[in-house]
Amino acid sequence: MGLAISVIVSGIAFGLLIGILAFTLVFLYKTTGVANFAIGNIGMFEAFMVYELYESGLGIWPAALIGVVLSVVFGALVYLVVLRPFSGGGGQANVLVRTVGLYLLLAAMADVFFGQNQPYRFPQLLPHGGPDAGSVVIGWSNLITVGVVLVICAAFAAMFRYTSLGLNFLAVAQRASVARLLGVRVQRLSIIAYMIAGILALLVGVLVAPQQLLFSQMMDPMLLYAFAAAVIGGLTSLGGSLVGGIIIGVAVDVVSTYVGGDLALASALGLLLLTLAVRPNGLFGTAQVVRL
Amino acid sequence: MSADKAASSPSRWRHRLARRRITASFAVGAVAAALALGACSSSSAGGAGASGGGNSASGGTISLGISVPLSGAVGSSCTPMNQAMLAWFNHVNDTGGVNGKKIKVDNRDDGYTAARAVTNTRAFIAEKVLAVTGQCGSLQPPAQVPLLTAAKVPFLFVFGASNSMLHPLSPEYFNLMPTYGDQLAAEIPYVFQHYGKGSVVLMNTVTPDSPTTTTQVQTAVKSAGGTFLGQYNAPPGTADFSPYVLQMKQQHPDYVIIDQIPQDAARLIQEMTSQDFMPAKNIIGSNAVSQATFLSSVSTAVQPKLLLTSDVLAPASAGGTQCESVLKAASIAVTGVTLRGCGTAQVVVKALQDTKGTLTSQALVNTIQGWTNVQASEVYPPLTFTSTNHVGVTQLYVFSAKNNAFTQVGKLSLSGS
Repeated sequence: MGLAISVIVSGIAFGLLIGILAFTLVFLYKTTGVANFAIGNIGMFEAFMVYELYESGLGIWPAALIGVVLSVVFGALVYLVVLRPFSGGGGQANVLVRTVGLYLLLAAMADVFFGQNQPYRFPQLLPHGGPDAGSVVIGWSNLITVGVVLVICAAFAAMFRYTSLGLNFLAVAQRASVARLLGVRVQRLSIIAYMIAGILALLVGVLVAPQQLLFSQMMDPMLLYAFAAAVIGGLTSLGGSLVGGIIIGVAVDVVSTYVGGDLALASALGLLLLTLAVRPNGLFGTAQVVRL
Repeated sequence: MSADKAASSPSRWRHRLARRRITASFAVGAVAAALALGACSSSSAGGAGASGGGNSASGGTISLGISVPLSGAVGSSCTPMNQAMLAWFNHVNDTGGVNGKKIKVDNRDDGYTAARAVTNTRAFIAEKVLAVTGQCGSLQPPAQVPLLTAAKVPFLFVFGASNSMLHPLSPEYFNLMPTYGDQLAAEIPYVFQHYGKGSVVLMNTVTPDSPTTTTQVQTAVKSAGGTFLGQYNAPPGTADFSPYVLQMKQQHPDYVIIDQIPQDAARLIQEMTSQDFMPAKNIIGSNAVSQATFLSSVSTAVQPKLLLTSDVLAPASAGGTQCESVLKAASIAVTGVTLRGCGTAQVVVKALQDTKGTLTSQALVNTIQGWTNVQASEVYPPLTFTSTNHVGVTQLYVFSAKNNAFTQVGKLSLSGS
């Protein structure tokens, strides 16, 4: 029984990391209408940038703060250089494939620029240790992560609900052409969305890297889990993505413990398929009206 | 049916369609991501027959082929090894060559893909190289061996260890390092003798070899008077090791044996640290992890717990060797990987030097098979090969670590003594 509780607690902690990545995916989907597959590796690449700054002699916090600025620029560049050019002709499928290409490109670039001697020990941003709950140590970093996630979630929910910026984001995601006719500056909003996503991706990167170690493939398993979490939570629900992350995290850890690690990924994808079959819009997803 | 319901039905269907369209686009995306990830971690193996006999050194040169990952997933760790090999061959050429003949190397990148390794190997066979050497990785050799065996071209000293390469044994395939299972099976009695008997858990990265390794470890632990508590198997690239660590923690083992790829082993130890768990005595591993890249990702507080085997000297023990001076002259850092590259090149050169008469592929094979306790390199222990044993190293160094540097704490024989 003690083991079961320990595994569930550790699964929740792991699920929160998945949830933050899923949150970023859903945010981009809500604001741009595109599921961006590169977001995990954007976070990985930004974490490498912070690590390089740290290695150059800056403290971890100054490096992280400069990293935030770089992430905003990087997010904007991703949109302007990779996703925006000629995006009108190919539709969403074209942009979707571009994100897959960007995902592979960033992994290859990380290998080229930072590949030697990876994986790296990424310095802890958050305090070490934590309270011992039974046989599992709940890290202070996990507890602080919960707080950070809740604050971010509330802030974003408020933005979408109460601000004109959030409303404009939703309008662009629903139908960019109509939003443009109504005076919404679509390109500018998309750039802002990617700037915000750049910061969120950095947050994911610097939270994951101390636990997973920093290397070019560190986000690969996380990305699949995050997509499953996004679908389970509801594709348009930011809070749902976090709940989905926790469900996936607990499921993966329980299956790894009692069935076998080989089936961990299969269990996550099984939950994804089950959700699609039983509850197509996820646990917290809302319907989108399309005029036919 | 109420009027209200009837009126809303078509709209509900539209809503459902819209929802499903959104969901489907995500699902298609997820599948695309899965395929992309799969594409990253796998590659197609080419295969074709090759004809012809062994080759011979012609004129004033000895032609060798090297197919090695200079790019791709392991390019960053294999490139320094390759550079070190080439540096040693250059040094040999600069100092008169091998019995008056210069070594000529066709050095090709295979990107850690079997398909490109096959293409390179076909080119080597067409060029009639005397031997192929310098490979790094376990993915490509299975695709190369059939071609080289058919062409009777020796395939010398891959940096990798796999049972599948040795059973059945190709007459042309030679290796220096023993399989990870053999290394661990030899290390366990050594550790019990020097650090005390105890209980053991084994952590595997799932590979084709892991069932064999598990059996070998289990048998070795029991034979040496220890208790085998169990094994855990995690796929490569596992994201969360906490389920395994929590189970280990409940078992209170004296030793944790890691049979993992370096990145996963580092992440396991990271999770062990996070969960405030360490085995009572030591963490045992093979030369899969006795590498600087692994060590640099392990906390310095944990490093003294490590007991790892290595088939090459620790860099700290390589002072004064020719390898060290050649590597430094070529501006190559002296690390475990570059020492391995230099040492492997030394073994190749020694085999070429020892071959009497006409230097042919078959004569080279005969020479290597005739070695018994031959000190062919400064960094490898003495090597022994026979016609049925194509793994040369019969002794291993045992490393511990402190302050990000390996230190040699012992030496063991693979016979278990």
